Amino acid sequence: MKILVVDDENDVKVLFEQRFRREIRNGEMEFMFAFSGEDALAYLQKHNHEAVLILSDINMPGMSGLELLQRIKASYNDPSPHVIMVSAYGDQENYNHAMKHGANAFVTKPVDFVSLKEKLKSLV
Amino acid sequence: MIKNKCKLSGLAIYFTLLTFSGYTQPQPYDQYKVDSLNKLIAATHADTNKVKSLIFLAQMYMANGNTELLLKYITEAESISKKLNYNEGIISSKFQKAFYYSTTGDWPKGILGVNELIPLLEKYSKKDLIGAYNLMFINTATQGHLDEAKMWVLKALNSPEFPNLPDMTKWPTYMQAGLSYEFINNLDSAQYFANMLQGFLKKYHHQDLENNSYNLLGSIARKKKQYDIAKEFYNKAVPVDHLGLAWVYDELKKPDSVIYHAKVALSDGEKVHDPRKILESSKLLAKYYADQNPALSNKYLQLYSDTKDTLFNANKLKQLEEIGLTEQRKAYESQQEKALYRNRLIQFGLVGLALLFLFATLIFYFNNRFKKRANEKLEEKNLELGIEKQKLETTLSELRSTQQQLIHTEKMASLGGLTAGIAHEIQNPLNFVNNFSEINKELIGEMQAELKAGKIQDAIEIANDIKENEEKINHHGKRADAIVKGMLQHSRSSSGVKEPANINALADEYLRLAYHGLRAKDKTFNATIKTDFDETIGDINIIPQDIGRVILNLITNAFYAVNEKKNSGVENYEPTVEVRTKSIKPPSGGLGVSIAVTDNGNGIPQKILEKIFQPFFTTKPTGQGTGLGLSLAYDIVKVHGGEIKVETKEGEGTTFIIQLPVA
Repeated sequence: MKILVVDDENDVKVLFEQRFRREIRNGEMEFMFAFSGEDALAYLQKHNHEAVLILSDINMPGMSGLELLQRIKASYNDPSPHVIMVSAYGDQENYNHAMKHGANAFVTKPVDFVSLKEKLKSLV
Repeated sequence: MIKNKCKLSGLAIYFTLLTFSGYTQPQPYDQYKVDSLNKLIAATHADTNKVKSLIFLAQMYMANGNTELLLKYITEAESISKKLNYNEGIISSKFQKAFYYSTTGDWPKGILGVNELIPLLEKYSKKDLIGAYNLMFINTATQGHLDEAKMWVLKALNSPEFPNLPDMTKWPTYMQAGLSYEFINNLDSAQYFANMLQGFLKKYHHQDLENNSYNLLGSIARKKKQYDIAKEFYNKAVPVDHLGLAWVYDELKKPDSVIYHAKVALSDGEKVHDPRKILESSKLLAKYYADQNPALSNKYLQLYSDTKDTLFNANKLKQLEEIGLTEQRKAYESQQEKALYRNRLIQFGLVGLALLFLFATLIFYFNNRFKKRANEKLEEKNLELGIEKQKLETTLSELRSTQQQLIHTEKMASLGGLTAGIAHEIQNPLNFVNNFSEINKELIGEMQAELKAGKIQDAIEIANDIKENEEKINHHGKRADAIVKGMLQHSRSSSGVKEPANINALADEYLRLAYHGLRAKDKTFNATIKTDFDETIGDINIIPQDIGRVILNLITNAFYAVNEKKNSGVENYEPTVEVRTKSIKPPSGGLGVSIAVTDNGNGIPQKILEKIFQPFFTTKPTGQGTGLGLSLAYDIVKVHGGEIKVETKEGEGTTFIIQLPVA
């Protein structure tokens, strides 16, 4: 399963690689990283339908996670990839906004990796 | 006018025996010395020794009261000195003459004498100027010109030479200062100088000092209605101050005692040619004899008015002119032989001068009549001004504290906007710290398992991961630390101290804080952030809290501007804020840095461009901005010796540029 992680924090890459090292090692999951909404869209264009699941932060400079969600849901619909939104604020407004625009799940920061793993596996 | 004079209450009496400087020291009269000096003078030629002897004789006649001989010897001493070009002799005789006229109430001659003296003293003997000012005090006080008299005392007190004078030359000035204040009933100030004199009294035994000090102390006590103390002081004076005692009994309403002391005072006054003493005692006597012996009362009244005339009548003024004119005329007559034509012109001038002089004298005379009334009005005005000043000072201090409060409000407002940003900025590094430390815990367990299984190579690989994670933990811990420090620094009042700071780091930090702060408040807000930091800048000397606030303010404004434009529904608009730093060479020389904050918002309309740095000017809705941000930014940049500029194009955006010198 290919997962695209979108976050403006570079260290997210190392973190995911460490957290999911077993899954990566035994080929269960494969992670790609984009550090902005624009990067993520560019990646998706290049590697059409490669990513099954997109995990995106909401709070990013430039294109925000919510905007990215809308674009993905608008452009890729046969089938559209799963999108999980991550936000530091976890408030109702962001949640509602994400759900309205077709997010498949909503994860709040700090991310609980145990439950995230379960969520990812259940989505596949 | 009369009332004014009465208030003077015998000024000159205090000065008949004053010592003003080495030049005027009265010598005790000694017949033997007089005889031997007379012989010496007759025998010697016109030399400096003869001058000295003549002056010494004059000083003895001063004490003796033989004015004819005194003036004769002084005049002789002066003319010999002039022939010899003996400056000290000229000054000494002129001083003695001025002293004599000033202390005997002949103020026109006294003033002229001092006027001749002052240029000489300025040239040859600056420290004796104070003595000349003391004489001017007497001359002006005698006429009742109290303000002018006070001016001369102040001039003496403020002379650069005054502090270096010996005590025995200082005290007449203190004395006069005390009197000046006593006469205007400012008894606290008078007491201050009287206390100084009392200090001298403890140290020195000098008859004139004691006499004058006790007079002053007595008068202060009398005005404070401490009559017993006043009597004690007047009695201590040598000779006993009978006029003072008469005044005390006048206030105690004891006619017999008043008459007794006033009579003694009158005869004392006649003995030493003290017109003031004569004036005041005869006035008292006329008043107290009025009922019981009208004839005698009339006699004293006559004496009073005669004395007053000699002091104040118009003759004195004429005399003043004549003295001035004859001397000038003499000077011109000697020139007449040399240049007749020129002299005629000068004579015209002289007439003009005389008229001018007469005119000035008259103005001076009439001016004085209204001086007191003018002074009273002035005093009233001064009082009003004092009250106004106090009011203004209160207002000013209120304004200052309001200003402080406003600055505080502005700071808190900007900090409030930051809170969410700060929370976000701290949350992220903390998440990393927690995550990586959890991972490390797991990895250490795995490493232990590998080691037990003897797989050293695998264990080393895991150890490398642990090390890498540890570095991440450290990095993000420091990041959170820096944010907390920055926040504390922002809320703390400015240290006002410049210290080396990294302007790039400062700009980057506030950029993130401002961005996340806005995002927290407005979920739909977004903007592209561009940075271009000149890494060659290094640390520069600034007050970091203050410059941080300026940068924060500019960035917040930029975000506000792009958000406004976005919300107005412009098509295909991408809100962008850019922060650039650059090393520059300002026109003023040296090195500098520029920090530019650019937005692609709507720009600032030309008509409000001039106002943006004014305090309280804001385009934000009520309650959203203090209107102080840019005004404070302007002040802070100025304090740093820098400049803040704005470039804007309506519809296209704005760039604020701060230029700071690198100290």
